[in-house]
Amino acid sequence: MRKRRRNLIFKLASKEAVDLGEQTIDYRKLQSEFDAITINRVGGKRRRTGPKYYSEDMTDEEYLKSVYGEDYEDALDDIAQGLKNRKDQATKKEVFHPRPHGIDQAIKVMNLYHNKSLNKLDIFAFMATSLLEDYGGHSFFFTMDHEKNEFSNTYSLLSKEEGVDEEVLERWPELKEEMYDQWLEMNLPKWSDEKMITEDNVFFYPIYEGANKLGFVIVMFNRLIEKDQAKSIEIILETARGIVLDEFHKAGKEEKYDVDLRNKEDDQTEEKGFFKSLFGKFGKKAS
Amino acid sequence: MKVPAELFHIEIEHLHLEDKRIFPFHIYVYNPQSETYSPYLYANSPMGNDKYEFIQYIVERGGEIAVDKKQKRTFLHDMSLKEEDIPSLREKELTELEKKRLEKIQKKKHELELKQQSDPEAMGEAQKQYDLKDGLAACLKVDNFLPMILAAKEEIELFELTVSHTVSLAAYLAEELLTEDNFTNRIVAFSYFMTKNMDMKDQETLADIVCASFFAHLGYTQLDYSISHTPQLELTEKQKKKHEKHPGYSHHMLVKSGLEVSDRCKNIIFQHHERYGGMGYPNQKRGEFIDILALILGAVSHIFEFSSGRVNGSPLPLELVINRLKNKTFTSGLEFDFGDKIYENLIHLVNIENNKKEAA
Repeated sequence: MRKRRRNLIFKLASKEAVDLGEQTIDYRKLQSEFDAITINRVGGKRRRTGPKYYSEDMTDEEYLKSVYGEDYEDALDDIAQGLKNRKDQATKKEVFHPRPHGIDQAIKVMNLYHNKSLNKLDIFAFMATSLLEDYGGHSFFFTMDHEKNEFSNTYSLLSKEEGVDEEVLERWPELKEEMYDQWLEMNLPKWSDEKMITEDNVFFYPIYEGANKLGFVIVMFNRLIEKDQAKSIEIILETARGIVLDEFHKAGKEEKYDVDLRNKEDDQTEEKGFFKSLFGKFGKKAS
Repeated sequence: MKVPAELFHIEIEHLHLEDKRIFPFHIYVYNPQSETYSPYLYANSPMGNDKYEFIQYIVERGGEIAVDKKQKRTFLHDMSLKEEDIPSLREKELTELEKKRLEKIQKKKHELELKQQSDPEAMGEAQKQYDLKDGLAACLKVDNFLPMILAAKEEIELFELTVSHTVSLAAYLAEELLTEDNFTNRIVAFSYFMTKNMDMKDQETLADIVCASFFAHLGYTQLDYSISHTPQLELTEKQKKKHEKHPGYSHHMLVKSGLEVSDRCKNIIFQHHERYGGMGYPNQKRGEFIDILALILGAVSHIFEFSSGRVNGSPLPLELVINRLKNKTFTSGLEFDFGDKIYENLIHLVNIENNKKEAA
């Protein structure tokens, strides 16, 4: 069949050899171009392993051989795949959806940092409002109180704020009483429902510098949070670091980076605390 | 025969070659390897057996058949087909994002048309490219950069959605954030127009500088809050060392968020405090090893920082800052080393009258 086709094409080419000026279609050239395309036949059919060239000087094949050298035979599959990819790209135009993952909110917080007319509580207020509006999150910020030398609830949304869910605020005192000691010991961000299938999820987000916990944020939600939203929420909360770090330093504390948890006596308590946090009761839903 | 500008692809079955061999439209073939079209059969010339077999061979080899869009009606009528039968003629279903973008473009066209109707001269004004020098002069007069910021927003938010993640992100951030006059937005808008002025006008490059301008100072949220409010020259050694880490912290925020952004954008963020002579940080890069966009961002953010008093605690009008750069007037905290290209492009933005103002 291929031989007959080749013969037909030669006939075609010679028929069209009469000079029709601009009207001439060069079928021989078309032949040569399409012959240079390699096709892999799979699924039991015979595999073509090389392009066929009808051009007299064989420069195309020579060019490819010079490009691929010893790998020429092996590279034919790649050439075919490359052709397929180019065709797919020519026909498809992918739309790139912007996915900011909370960075747009982080930029807004950064702008507030630059604004000298605002204070830290204004920044917490902005973050809390942002989490409430976008995710139904009710935030409670804990930073180091340098007078009492302990963490205190520096900022939380008030019930009079627009959009605040009174039921969530009512649950807060009980949750705090039940979980506060554990929050002091916990080191890693944690969702009360890691599977994200409940609406009243609670997120614990600690802010660390070195081995020191500078502060933490508790966010109580009243709507379902998707897994891809969790990242955005973390990014927004991460922008609170500058504030909690400042409060930590103002309390006269310095972050430690080279704490050895193995030898010291009180570190055993810390270790216990760490294990406790792994198997702790935080998974209980706030009632 | 010249290949037309717009063609649509058809399947070989659409030609009904078993029954038909003469067509009232030209037929072209598409070669996916060279991504080119070639004429195959003229209208009203018969497709003999040889050409019939050849076209089948071409399709077997991965080639495609195409028809001039201007002959679409002739084709559909002759082959008794409808547009819906031809995949390449079916109107592509737009995503929500594309629909919103289209609405925006149509709205802008409509606004321009209205302007033209009410004032033909204003149409010319509307279509003119934003002139950074004139625009800057106008903003400096009233210390209000909102016109420049909105001009940048208008251009950036219409970036194509099919180029890359970074380009789409730049358009999104422009739409969401370039709505008020603040420190970051001034840097974004100025850097954007300065990059265009330096003949870098492709959307990928512009998106890189726009995104980098937004992200470069995210690291400040990871430093002590008080550092943001202390002039840089008054920072302690310890605070200075922390401050120099902010490009890395900005990068950390991007990595943590999982944001898809180009490598070039990340490099610009890392390098925006590198200086041409090698005295910058974090890596003391020099000369051509520093991305030109990083030098642009570095220069622009520095002049705005200096102007707002963040460097030495004393605010100074921006035009005077540029003037001092131009005259290389030593001022504590004022950096000059951004390379000749940046220097030339910055100083031409300042008028001679400003020299007299400084002297006065």
